[in-house]
Amino acid sequence: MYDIILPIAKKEFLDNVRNKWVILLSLLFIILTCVTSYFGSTGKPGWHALHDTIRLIASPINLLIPIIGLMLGYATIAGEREKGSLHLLTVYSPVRSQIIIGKFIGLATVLLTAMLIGFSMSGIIIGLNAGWTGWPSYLLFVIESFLLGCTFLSISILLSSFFKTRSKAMGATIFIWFLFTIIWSMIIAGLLLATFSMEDSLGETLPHWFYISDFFNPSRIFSSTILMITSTSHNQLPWYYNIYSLNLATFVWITVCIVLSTIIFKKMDI
Amino acid sequence: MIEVRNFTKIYDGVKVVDNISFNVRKGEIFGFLGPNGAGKSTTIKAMLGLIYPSSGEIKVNGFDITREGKHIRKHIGYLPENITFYDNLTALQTLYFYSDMRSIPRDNCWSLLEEFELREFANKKVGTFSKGMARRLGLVQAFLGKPKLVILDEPTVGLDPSGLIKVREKIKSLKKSGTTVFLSSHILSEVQKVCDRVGIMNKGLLVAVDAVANLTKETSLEEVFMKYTRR
Repeated sequence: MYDIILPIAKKEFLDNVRNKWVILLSLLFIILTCVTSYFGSTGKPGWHALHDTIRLIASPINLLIPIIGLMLGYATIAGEREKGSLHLLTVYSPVRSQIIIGKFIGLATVLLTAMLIGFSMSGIIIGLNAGWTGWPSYLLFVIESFLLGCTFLSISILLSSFFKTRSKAMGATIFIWFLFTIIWSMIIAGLLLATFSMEDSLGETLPHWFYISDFFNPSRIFSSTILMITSTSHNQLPWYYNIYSLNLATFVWITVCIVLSTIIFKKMDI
Repeated sequence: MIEVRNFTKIYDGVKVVDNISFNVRKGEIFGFLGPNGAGKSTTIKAMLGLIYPSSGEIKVNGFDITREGKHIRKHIGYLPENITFYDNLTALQTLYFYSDMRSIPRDNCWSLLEEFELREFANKKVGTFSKGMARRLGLVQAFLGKPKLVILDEPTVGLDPSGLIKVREKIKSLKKSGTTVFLSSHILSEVQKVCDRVGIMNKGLLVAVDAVANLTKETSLEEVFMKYTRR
């Protein structure tokens, strides 16, 4: 089985090394992290410690990584199908699911490599200038960022399997990005305002549906997880809402998307 | 080698291929003819497991291609009508990739590149290749690893006369080594020169299957083709 998955994964990875995506992404992560850490939220020059850097960078990363994940995967099936290169790939793959898994592994490796280079270099720069306090949290932040990227990558592969053309898949990925990173929060905030009284809000007991809704949005999962990593007190949270359950939800997201992609791709006429 | 039984394919309510049946014997060169839109490419795609039959079944080397394709795919070489490679890969990397995909050794990549006059372009990116060069590379990848069955969809399109002769010689040499060749082409003179038997499709129906020698006893293959495909 791995005889087929590995060449596909390797090709996807090398394709992105050759077209400079890995280098560009690494540079982007270095610049974004260092600039954010140096200027902070006030714009006043001076390095912030790793722990503070995570808090500062979490929001831009929560917007950027979903775009990267979606852009990496949206054309992987639809684009190849449109171009015609999917014919040979499918003819020579004993089982079609191997193509999906191989592509996912290859593209996730692109993301991982860029993140490891980008975040480790910026981590070293920040560490040398502002001290090493908070490096375990920084490491967790990198892992969570990678999982966020993998979730959106798996969503984009699902969309790429579902839509027949590259343009339709791209349209769908743009919609998904808007939905999860912008529209979702607005809807939830609106619902909260409509159903939640002021007295409840003073008592700080948010309804269960509010917490449960987070599990259905990978972007919300990421921001909540980062908040838990950087904050020390989260006593008001329900028992089911913790770093483990949120990470479990991430793995469920990735697995469901990959399984669905495989089912769609298996039944597809090419 | 190939058994097509009552194969029908319907796209959006339109019957593109209508209940066709034929066999391709082991070691023979079978020509698949028909005008544009006759259903040839659909049949080829179904034989390769790229599309699913609406009804009927297709077996390759005894295995149902849609359900048991994993047992036979390694032994199939395929050249699609419109071949597209990955622009970023060099010719050699492309061949290594398809060799790895099929779990076959990489050792005959160089000799095939030499045979199809692509050796000097081995390290050039495929994106820079002309149509003819891409076609030749397509043929090379189809012949990798000595496949038991080679399916060629319009193998000579875009080739110069020397390329055309090379393909003809290669197909004949494959027959000598026991490989089955399934060939779709519009160049009837070439088909007549290399094929043992032909099948002619028209409007989704298989209108004739016979040995080339029988069909061309009294007339040319061109006239036979015109007779069966007259609309």
